[in-house]
Amino acid sequence: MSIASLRNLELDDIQLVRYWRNLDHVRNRMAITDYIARDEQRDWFGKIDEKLTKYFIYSLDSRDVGCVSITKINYADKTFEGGIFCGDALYLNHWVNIWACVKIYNYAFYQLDLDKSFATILNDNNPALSLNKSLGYVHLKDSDCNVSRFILNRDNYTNSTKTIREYLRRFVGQDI
Amino acid sequence: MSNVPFEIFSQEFANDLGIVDKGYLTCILKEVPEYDSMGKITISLTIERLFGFQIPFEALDKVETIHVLYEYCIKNSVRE
Repeated sequence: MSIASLRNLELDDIQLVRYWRNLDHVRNRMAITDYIARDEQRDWFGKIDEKLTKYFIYSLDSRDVGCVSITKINYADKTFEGGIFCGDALYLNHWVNIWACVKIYNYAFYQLDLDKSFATILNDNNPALSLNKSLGYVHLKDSDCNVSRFILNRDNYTNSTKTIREYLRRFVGQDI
Repeated sequence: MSNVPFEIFSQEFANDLGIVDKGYLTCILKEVPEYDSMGKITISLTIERLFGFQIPFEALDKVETIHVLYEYCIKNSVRE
């Protein structure tokens, strides 16, 4: 069995995340592609409102692989945005990325009791488009030529990921 | 030994991944954009449905072409 885990992003992790975020395979799939400097990263971390934004590092067998997040949490409207990037290029096509996504969405929908998620994805980011489709996201009409907007509700998520969660159970040996 | 022909397997492979371009039949699987993290999970389930066994994720990661993947499935199939 593999041991996949999530931990809260801490100050000690932020330069690793910056290193990942500046790598071409991550940066080129983001809406903002600017290089992030050390100080900028520290400023960004200092401004995080932990009630509205949650970042996690995900790891496999003690090796840090990437970062997942829930941002723009709105407890009144019960909405959020989910995000992920795989920093370690060796794991780009690995199941652990899907596992991390499912864990974070489970947390948002079932523990924080949020109802809907929105996502904005570059139209040429095929892995993210494919992943979102599998999670149950539905395309919104207010998209433009570069980006598409998607919405996911809790029921859609629960139904769409049933098989995926069963599949992932094989690797980690427990329900997720 | 399974009797699923390659044509059926490759068709199901393309359908389940939503591939329209025939390039996947000849190129290296790593170069098929749809064969990513989620794509491998999808194909793993396709293989279970067609061949009746659970393919290890490492095998999905290692196989270079769809033909090699098919041969692996035939060899390990538990369906007649």
